[in-house]
Amino acid sequence: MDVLDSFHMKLSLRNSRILIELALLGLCGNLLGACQAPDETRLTVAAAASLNPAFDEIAAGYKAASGETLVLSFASTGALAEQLRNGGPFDVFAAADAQHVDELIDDGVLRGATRTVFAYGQLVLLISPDFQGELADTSVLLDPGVKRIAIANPEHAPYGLAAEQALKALGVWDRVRNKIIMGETVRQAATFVQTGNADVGLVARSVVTPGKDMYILIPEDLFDPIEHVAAARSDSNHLSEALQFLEFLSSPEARSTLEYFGFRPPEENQP
Amino acid sequence: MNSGHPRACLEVDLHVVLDDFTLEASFSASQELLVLFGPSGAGKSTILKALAGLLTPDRGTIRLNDRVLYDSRSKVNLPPQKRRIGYMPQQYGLFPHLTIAENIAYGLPPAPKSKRNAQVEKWIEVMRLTDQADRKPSEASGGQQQRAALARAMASGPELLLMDEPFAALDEELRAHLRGEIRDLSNTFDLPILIVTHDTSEAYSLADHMVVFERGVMIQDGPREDVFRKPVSESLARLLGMSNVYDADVLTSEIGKTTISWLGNIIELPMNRLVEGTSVRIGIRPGEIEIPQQISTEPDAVILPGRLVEMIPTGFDLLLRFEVQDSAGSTFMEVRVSQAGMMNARLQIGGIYQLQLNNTSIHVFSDPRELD
Amino acid sequence: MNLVPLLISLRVASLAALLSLIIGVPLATLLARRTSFWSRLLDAFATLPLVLPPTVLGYYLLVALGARSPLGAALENLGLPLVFTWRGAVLAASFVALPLITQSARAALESVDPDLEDVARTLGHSELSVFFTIRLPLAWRGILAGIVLAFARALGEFGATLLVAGNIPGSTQTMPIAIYDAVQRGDQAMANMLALILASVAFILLVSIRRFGQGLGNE
Repeated sequence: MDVLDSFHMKLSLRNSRILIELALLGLCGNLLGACQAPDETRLTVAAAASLNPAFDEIAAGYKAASGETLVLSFASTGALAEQLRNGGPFDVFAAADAQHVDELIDDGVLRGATRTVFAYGQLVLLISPDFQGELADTSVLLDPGVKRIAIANPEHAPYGLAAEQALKALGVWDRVRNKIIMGETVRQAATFVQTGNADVGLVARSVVTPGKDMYILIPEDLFDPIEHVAAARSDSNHLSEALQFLEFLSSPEARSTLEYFGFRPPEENQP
Repeated sequence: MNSGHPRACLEVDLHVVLDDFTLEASFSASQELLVLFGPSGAGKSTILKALAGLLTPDRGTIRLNDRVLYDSRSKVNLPPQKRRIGYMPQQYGLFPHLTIAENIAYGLPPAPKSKRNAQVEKWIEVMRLTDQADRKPSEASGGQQQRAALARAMASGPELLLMDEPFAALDEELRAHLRGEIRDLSNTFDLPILIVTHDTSEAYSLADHMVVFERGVMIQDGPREDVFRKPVSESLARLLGMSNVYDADVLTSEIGKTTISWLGNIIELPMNRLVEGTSVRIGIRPGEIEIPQQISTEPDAVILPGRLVEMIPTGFDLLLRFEVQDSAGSTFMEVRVSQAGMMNARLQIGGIYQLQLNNTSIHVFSDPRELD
Repeated sequence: MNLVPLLISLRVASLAALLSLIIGVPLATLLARRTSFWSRLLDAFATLPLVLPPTVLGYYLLVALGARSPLGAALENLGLPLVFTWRGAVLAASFVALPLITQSARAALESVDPDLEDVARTLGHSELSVFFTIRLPLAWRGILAGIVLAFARALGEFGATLLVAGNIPGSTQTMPIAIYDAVQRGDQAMANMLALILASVAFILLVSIRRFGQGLGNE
C-alpha cells in the first residue's frame, strides 16, 4: 500500500480538476471562433438603442446599395457617449439626441463637419390594452380611470424630456405628475403600458407597433424637437466610408425606412 | 519551585501575559507522565501551545533534551515544525479528509518512500488499526481514533508528547481505553508525556507527577500522592476531593510533635513548625476515614462519633455525610465507602457511628501568606 | 439561430470565474480570521462590487482603463487594449464575481478547525504545505459554492460588460447583451428563445460543476 503516492495524487487531482474544467470551457469558446477582435475593415456604427430595429433595416439597405456590411453596436446614448470618450472604436455615432453628439464634438471626439440631423423623434400617447376608456384625444390623460402614466426618465432620455414638456404644454402636468412612473428608456416605458402595468404612456413612435398598439400622435409644437444626430469619429480610419454612410442616411431609401419605423425624416423641418 | 527531578529532559520557565491574568510557569519533567492540573481557564492550554511553538510567550526558556526550543533572551524561537513535539488537541485532531494510514504518514520525517511506507505499516500494526487503515477517521470507532491520533503523533518521532484535555467529552469506556493507551505508551517509550486536564479522577489515575495551576500561578508541583494528600491550598483541596476542612487550634509544638485541638479532641501530629496558640486549617480526605467494626486502640488513631445524615452516591462509591460536634455547635464530615463497605456496616440514616482516621491523614494547610 | 453570443458568454464567464478564483482565494486567505482595521478595510473594498450597480462599476472601469487613462493608453500601445474587447468583458465579469468567491472562500477557510492546522505544523509541515494539504482541501466545499456563484454571476453579467466591452456582435456581445438587444429591437420572441437557451446551458453547467466538485472534496 503506497500511502504517500495516493495521498499526493489525490491532493493534486482535487485542486486542479475544477480549474481544468473551467479552462476547457474557455478554450472551447475560442476554438469555435468566438470572441474575435472586431473586424477592422468594416464600418462600425454605434447606434442608440431606440434606433433598433430601424438601423438593422438601414444597414441591410446600405449593404444592398454599396456592398458594404456594417457592424452595428446598440446601447443607450449615454453609455455610447462614455465609450466614445474613452476610446470606443466606433466610426459613426448615431444618437437619440443632439446634446451628446454636440458635447463630443466640442471635446474633439467627433468631427463637427460631419454632423448630420438624420431624423426627428415623434411622440405618441399610447394606451394599455386593458384600458377601459376611449382614446379620442389627449384629454384621456385626465380620465379618472388613468392611475399610472409611463414616460421615459426626463433626466436621461430625450423622449422623457419631450413627454414632460408636452404634459406641461397641455396644462395637465400638475394634475397628473403624481401618477407618473418612469422607465429608464422609452422602450421600457412603452413596455409598462403594453403589459398593462401603466394605463397610458407618452413614448416614442418608434417603439410602438402599428396595428397592435393603440396610440395617437402628439403634435410637435408641444415639445422641443427631438433631434437624432449622427457624426463620424475624428480618429476613425474609415472617414470616407463614414461620410458615405452619413450621406446614405439622407437618401430617399433611408428616409422611407426611418419613416416606416416611426421617425420623421428631416427635410420638412430644415432649420 | 522545581521538583528537582534527577534526569529532567524538559525544562520550562515561561511568562505569558493573557487577557485576564499573567501566566507564570516554571517546572521540569523527566520521562514520566506529567499532569498539568487546574480549573478551566487557568492557563494550562496556553502552556501546551507555548511548548508546541504555536504561541510565543512574553519571556522565558524551554529546553528539551539539551536542545533550546525557546529562549527570549537569546532570541531563539523554534517554529513548531522543528521542535519534534507531538501535539494532540481535544478531540484528537485527526484530518477528516485523509485515511487513517495517510494521517499516520503525515508527520513522517523525510526518507525513501519504501522506508516510510514500512513505518506506517508498523504503526498500524502496533496500534491494531489494520482494518481501519484505508478508512477515514469518521468511519472508525472512538477507540480506533484515539489510537490513530497517538500513532500519528508518535510516528513523527517526537521527544515530548502533549495532550490537551484528552478526556473531555468521552464516555467511561473511551476514558478507560485512553488511559490504558497512554499508560502503555509511557511504559514503552522513553519520553515525557504532558497531559492537561481539569478532571480530578483522570489526573489521579495517570499522573506520576503533577503541576497545579490556578489563574496563571503554579501553586503546587510534586509527585501525585503529595499533591492529593497534602494540597497546598483549600481551593485545591476542594478540587481534589478533600472536602473535610476544619479549624483547629495549635496547643503545643516541638520538634517532631505538635498537639492540636480539634472538634473537642486533643490530637498529636508527627510534625512541627506550627506556632503555638494559633489557629490552623486542616483537611482530611473522605477516603481516609473509616467506619470500623473494631475501633482501633493505637495511639495514632483518632476516633470521632458522628450522626449519619445523608448518603450521596458518587458513581459506584458513596459519600456518607456525618454530623459531628465541635465546641461551637456541629459541622459535617464526609466519609467515602464502597458498596461492600456499606453492606458490611449496615448503616442507617440517623444512627450514630464511630468514625476512625489515622493522624497522618490530617493535613495542615500552610499559612497562605507563606506561599510565595 | 446565431449562437455566437453563447460561445462568447461561455468563454468570458469561465475565464472570469477562473480569474476571480485566482485572485479571490488568496485574498480570502489574507482576510480569514483577521479583524484588524486594515483587513476590515480591505474586506469592504473587496465587497464593493456587490454594492455598486454594475453600470456604475462599468463606468469606473471604463474611465480607468479607457484610451484616455494612462493605463489604457499604455495597453493600447502594447497592442493589448482591454476596453471593447473580450478581455475587457472578462475583466468586468471578474470584478462583479470576485466578492462572491471571496466571501464564500473566506467563510469556508475560517470554518476549518484551527486545531487541525496546529497539529499539521507540529508534524513538521511548512505553512504552505499546511495550507495546501489541510486548509484548502477542507475548505473546498465552500470554495466550490463560491465558484458556482461566481460562474453564474459572470454568465449573467450585463451592465458593467456593456460599458467596458461594448455591444459588438461577434466580439463582445455576450448572451445577456444579445437578449437585451433583442428586447430593444422589439423582438420578444428572440429574446425569450435566447433567455431559455442561456438558462438551460447555465443550469447544465452549474449542476455539473457541483457534481464534479463534490466528487473531489470528500467528507
